[in-house]
Amino acid sequence: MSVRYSLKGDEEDEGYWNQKEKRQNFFDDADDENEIIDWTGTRIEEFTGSQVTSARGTNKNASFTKPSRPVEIANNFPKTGTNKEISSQSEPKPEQPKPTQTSASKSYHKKSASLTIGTKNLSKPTSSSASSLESAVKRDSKLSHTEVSKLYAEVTSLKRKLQSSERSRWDAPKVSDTIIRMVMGEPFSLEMYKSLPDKLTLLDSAIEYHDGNSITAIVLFLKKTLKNSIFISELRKRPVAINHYAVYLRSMGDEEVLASQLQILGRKEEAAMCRYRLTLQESSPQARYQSMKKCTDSYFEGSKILHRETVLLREQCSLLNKQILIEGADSKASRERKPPFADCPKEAELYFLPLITTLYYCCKYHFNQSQSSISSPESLVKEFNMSEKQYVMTAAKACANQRKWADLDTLLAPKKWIMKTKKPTVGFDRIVGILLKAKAPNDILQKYMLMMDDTTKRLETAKKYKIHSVVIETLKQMRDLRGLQNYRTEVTYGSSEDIQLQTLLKNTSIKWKT
Amino acid sequence: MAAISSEGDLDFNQLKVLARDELIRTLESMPDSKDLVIEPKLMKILDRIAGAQLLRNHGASKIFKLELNSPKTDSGQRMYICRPTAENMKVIADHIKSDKQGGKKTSYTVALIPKKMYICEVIMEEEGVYGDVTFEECKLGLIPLDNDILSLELPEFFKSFYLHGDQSWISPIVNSLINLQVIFHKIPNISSQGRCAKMVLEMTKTIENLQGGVLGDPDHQIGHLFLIDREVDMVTPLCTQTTYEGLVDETFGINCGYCEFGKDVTGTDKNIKLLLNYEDDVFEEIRNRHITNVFSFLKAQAQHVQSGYMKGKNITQIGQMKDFVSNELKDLKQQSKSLTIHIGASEKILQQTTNEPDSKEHLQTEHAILEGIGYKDSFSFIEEKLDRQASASKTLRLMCLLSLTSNGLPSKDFKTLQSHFLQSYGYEHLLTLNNLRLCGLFTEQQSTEVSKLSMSDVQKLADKALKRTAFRAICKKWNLIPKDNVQLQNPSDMSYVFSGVYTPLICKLIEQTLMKSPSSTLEEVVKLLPGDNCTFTRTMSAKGKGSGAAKSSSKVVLVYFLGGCTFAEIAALRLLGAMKGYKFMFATTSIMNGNTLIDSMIDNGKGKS
Repeated sequence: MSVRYSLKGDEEDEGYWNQKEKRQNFFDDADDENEIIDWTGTRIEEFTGSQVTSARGTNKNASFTKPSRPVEIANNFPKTGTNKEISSQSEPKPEQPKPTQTSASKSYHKKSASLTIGTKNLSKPTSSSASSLESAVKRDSKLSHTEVSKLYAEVTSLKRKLQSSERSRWDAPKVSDTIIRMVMGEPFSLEMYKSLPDKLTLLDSAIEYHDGNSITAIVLFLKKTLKNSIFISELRKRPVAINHYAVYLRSMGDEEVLASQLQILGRKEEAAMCRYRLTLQESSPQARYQSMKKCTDSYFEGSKILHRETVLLREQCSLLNKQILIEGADSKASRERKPPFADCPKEAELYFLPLITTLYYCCKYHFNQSQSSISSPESLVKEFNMSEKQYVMTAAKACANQRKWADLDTLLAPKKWIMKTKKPTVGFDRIVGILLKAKAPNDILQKYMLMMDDTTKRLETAKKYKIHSVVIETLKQMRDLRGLQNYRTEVTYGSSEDIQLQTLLKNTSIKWKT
Repeated sequence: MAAISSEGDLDFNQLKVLARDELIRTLESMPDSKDLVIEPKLMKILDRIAGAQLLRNHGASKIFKLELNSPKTDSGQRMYICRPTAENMKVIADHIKSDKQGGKKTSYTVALIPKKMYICEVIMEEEGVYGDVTFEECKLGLIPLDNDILSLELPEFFKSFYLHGDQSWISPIVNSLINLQVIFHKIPNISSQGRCAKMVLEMTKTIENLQGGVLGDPDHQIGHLFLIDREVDMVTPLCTQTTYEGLVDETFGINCGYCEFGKDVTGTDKNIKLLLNYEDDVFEEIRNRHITNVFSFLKAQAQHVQSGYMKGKNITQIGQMKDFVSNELKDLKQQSKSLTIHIGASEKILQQTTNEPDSKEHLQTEHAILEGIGYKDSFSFIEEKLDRQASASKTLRLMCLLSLTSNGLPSKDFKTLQSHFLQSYGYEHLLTLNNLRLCGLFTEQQSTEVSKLSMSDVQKLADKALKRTAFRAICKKWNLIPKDNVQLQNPSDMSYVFSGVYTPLICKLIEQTLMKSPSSTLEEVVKLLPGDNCTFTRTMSAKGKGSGAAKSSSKVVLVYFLGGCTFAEIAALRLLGAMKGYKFMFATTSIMNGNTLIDSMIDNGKGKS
């Protein structure tokens, strides 16, 4: 795992440099090791100095493809790095391949070694056939013309390299090298990249490598070093970069900035949702109402895509407004011990509760008020265009919890439906479910259970909650004689249910199913 | 590297040892004694690989949780161990500043798991404490949770990648993959599906090229790697799992392998935290069973333990007694302890389905939605559930399932469920619904005016439409919804993990790829899946060629889930492995289920977005 990798870190690092060294060696052009082989085994291309980058990724054609990561950068590095890197390097960090003095001197050492090997190689063809040492020495000391010119060429090239490495101390390293450093988690510096194309190449290659951390770093660098208008217009062309910028702003916790930046970057919907989120941070109801209204007007209204959201936000505003009104009146009534708070003072505040909970509240305290009163359930249902189902279930819950069985009766009696339909919209199984949850007394349960249409379900529920009379009645309706006989064991001997059962069993007029 | 144990399984213990070494190295990077401040989320992970004693052996004098307030201690050295998030950095910076104000002289090390992110340095620099801090990387990648499960334990990954498009965690995933291949050698066959998988694959290629090792290794111990995005199948995590392990996770929550059972399960007056893995014999036996098939086993086992104790009672000779006490009694005690908990847990799970009045209906609705029948009934069941203000996350699971299987809801239905949801749970959940929409979990069918479109738009729309009607088409092509009854007791079909109603799509994809189903049908389905598909075989390196042809390791398959996986999927693949002679190993960014998925999407404006 990681440790293995990191323990090997230094060693591998060295190997890494060596490899590069080899690749830059003049005489090794045709060496097999310089081939780049794809995963599928196809040989992509002959390795020459100018194609190093392709070995590192897929962007063979990228404009920054040039001899990459020359040794100079390594020597150079601690100086080009910012102060922070130097400070962090003074700490022990075994896992990080450090391009420190040691590795640099090693690479120089290798370089000179390669030169000597080169000389040896040149002498090789003859040495094998040499008969005596003396003659061999004689022959070897004379270099052929081509050998000499090759050596000269190498010397010139090395001179050139040395010069360029001295010069490049203050130059920006190749973009491709820096990106690799970033992806590999090695120290890097972006400060040297002053030209716009360089900056954009940096960003584009980071995106190509899919490394989020590098993308963020480069976006922040661009933000710092580019004029805002250029920064915005370049970012707008790169959605992935915007994503990372947004992630950064979000993690910094300043949603105000996030919203305005998203707005400028052309993500209006996202920005609008951010603004909406901000309004929810307001803790006072009045202030939240105001800011929500303002937010809807300025960021949602008129947007085609956000049309639906606009409608819903308006609903939320009117709900909050309504809650402010009801709460104002009720808390006053509660303080003055006026109905409906005469015997029980109000418990919690109404603000910010969901619509259904608000409806429950209105059913609890203002059930029988006239429709014109602001706090009546009916007015709420009407204003928010709620469905009958929503109303009946919430009202039933309120009645059951307060043991107002008469109200429940009127509610469920067909004439009380708000809209005129013949069949109740809420099945009695649901009503029974509500009653069971409210722990309603048996006689009430009995009454509504018998209204359940589905006899199998009714039987199942009645058996589970041991409502014997319902079980017996249902079995009778199902004309299930065996079921009735079997059920005798469940019923207490001599109880009213037992008598009911006995009479049924004796009744010869019922046609039992066979 | 002898990473293969006697049964031919991969030895994940090696990973554990390496993780421990890495932790020790990190601790020793700050010599002598120091205080440790650990991010609460990481506690369990550290528990799994080290334990408090190991921390103390390596210089930890006091251990604190990372909280808003700086720990009250006088030690001159302090090490923070945390994830590289902005939030953590800010808290640490505040600690340092308040320590300075109090005149304390302390040196700080911040050890970041699994890597240092750029933003960490930025924040420390901005807060003016960069010079006071030494950064250290603690490269803990995949944590072995079991003998076949590895996890990065990054439950936030799903949200950050799929919702926010944050690619910062791609690189840690890639590193974990590369490290795995250092231990178990290069995996020759690789298949990937999805956009995250593609990124991971490409970055892995880049780094392997840099390190100069792209060729296959004949000594490979894993024959095939699947890299699969969670996004490929969002239906599975939303369904109610019906295996024991899956249900334990959904009911009690398994965190890093640990599960905490309440008093009602343990039957005592305290909670018990249990490590659920292969070391628990009883659990190992029942974890993959369908829940209806668990109790019978537990009962038989309980009788077995009972008779074991009885044997002890009947012993008359001292020698026998000594034998009994030293050998069998310990096992019996261990077994009866674990049995008590598992019986309690399965009781609680079954109780839930019988006691909650509509849980049976809930499951029936879920199954009807999957089978694509009775849309209207399912819709009104969901609507009523909303109106009754039943559990929000459970209802959301059904809503998303309905939307996913119908490839987006018709506009009218979408609006109805949307407003009823907001009316019941608060309008601020508009943010939640927005998140779900962005992740494609709860969407509206697009109605577009065709006349206004250009040709390329039409093409795009057609492609989209193809992907949109995908779910039913895939189900049909691969028979994901079995027509016949599936055996739950002795399962022979992967769909048993959902009571025979649905076969997890990803598992089927893996089966079809491994079984080399005719490439035409595979292609037909694959093009309906989100993201790109890629399958290839590495060329073997020259050294030692031909030495390990057709070895058993080619039957070892590693499945890496990007964005999380469920226990149901793991159980299904374990079954597939047992039937077809494969050995499946699992790696994932985290273990997830429908509740954790939905909870991660919920946003009501409080706290961080």
